[in-house]
Amino acid sequence: MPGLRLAILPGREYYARRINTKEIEPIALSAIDQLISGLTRPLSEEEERPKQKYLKPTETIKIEAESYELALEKFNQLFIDQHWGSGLPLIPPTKERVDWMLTGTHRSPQEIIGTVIPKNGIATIEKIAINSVMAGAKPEYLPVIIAALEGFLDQDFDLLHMTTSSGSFLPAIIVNGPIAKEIDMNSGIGLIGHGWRANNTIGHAIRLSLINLGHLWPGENDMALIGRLSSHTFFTFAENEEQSPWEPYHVSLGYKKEESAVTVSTIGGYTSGLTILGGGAVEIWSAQSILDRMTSLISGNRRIFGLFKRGQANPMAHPSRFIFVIHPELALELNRLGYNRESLQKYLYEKTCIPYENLTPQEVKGLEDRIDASRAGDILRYDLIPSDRLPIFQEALQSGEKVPVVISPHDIALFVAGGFPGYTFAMSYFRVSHVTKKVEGV
Amino acid sequence: MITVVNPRGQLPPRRLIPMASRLDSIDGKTIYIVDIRWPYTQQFTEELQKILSERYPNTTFIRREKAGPYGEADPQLWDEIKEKGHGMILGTGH
Repeated sequence: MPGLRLAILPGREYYARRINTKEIEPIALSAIDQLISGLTRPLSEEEERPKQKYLKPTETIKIEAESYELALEKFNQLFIDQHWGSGLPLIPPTKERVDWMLTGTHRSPQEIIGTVIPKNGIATIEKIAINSVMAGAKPEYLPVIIAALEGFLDQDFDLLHMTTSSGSFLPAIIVNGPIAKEIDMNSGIGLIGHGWRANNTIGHAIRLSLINLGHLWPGENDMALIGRLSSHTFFTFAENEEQSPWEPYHVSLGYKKEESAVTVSTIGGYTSGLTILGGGAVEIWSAQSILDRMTSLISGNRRIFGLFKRGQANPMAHPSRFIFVIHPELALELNRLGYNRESLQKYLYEKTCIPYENLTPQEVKGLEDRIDASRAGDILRYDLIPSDRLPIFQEALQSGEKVPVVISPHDIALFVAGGFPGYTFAMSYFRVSHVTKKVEGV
Repeated sequence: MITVVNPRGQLPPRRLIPMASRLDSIDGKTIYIVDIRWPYTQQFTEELQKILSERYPNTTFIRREKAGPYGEADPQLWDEIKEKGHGMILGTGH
């Protein structure tokens, strides 16, 4: 269709007045004429016989100026005007520089890894390389950038929500395996901050790829009302495998230690994106004090229960998933106390279960409805309790039992990162959109 | 002079289809109001149905909630509307 006929409501009033039918009445009244017109106004020529449009993209753009410096300025202004930039200065993606970037992978430049929402632009290795050049990345970073984008394009990752929601969601991009050290990624003090070319330009290349491959732009289809934190480089860091007492995160998922992998995960939304749970050089902390804060954070999030209403897309009702980034000192202490990653996940899962008697009638009803809807399958995948976990929730809904607040121990992902001293921090989202991909084509 | 390559992902070709023909009048017709069930859209679509029914008494306005997640199609409902309806108002509220 050439375009939908839309009745536009005044957002300034609609959102505030939609609480009940009496309040919303004047807004509904204001839409009536638009709706009747939409139903009865004769079709225009374009609506009746739409012209097929296909714009062949311009392959190269020539920027002329009196000097290189002026051309560079002109290039940056053109790219931001076209919505092809991020707002930071860019490196011009000349053919020579893109060819240099492509030396970082054995993969064919024409290989398509998928299409990127919201407009489904085609993501080829070459286009990713172009955006990586613009971000200031080095060729050896390219396989990590590609793996991260493959994670975003996985069917289990809801990229549409992360990039277009009115909430301030953003990705965490966490690198494991030998490549992190080879390309000098920071996993220690300042791990989500500035000053590390690999961390920062990998994140920036991904930001630019999302803009340019998805045709994404703030206020047009990226509707984050206050923007997204760390919007230019995201939270991009490596696990501190050297100072972790445990096997690397990707090895716990079945990858080999000599392989490298990238985990991409949506975080944030209506919070700052992360919560500090303890550690550091100021306050006194202990392993137990941080474990207590972890359990408090998880068990305090009871959205799995009462907020669920069958068929309604309420983001506040989606079950949660947590990422804890544990600073090495704490990981070493937990290891001394006998915890490994798996037993710590189990501890946190079990410790945060709620006694059935402590649930309100509304929470019991919400969980019962979620179980029924999960069985029927007519439910958003964010809200689903997978079939292998359903018996656990069904059996827990009775006197004397405890009800989990996360679907599975695996919804508590544990990484070790940071320096000495360091902070342990938490990041959370819905239980979907957490994908790990092997780094290929190095 | 600098010559740079285009960073944009090529959009796949799309076939534009003609829009459904419009009604001369809604008099005597059945119009579906479809609520996709975003939070608080129920109040709006209910009020819409009430006002439209009062203002156009010779038209039948049927309010229906779309099954399944808000972003996905409801083929059964679409078939019902094609069979029994003459027009549709789809409310996204988002």
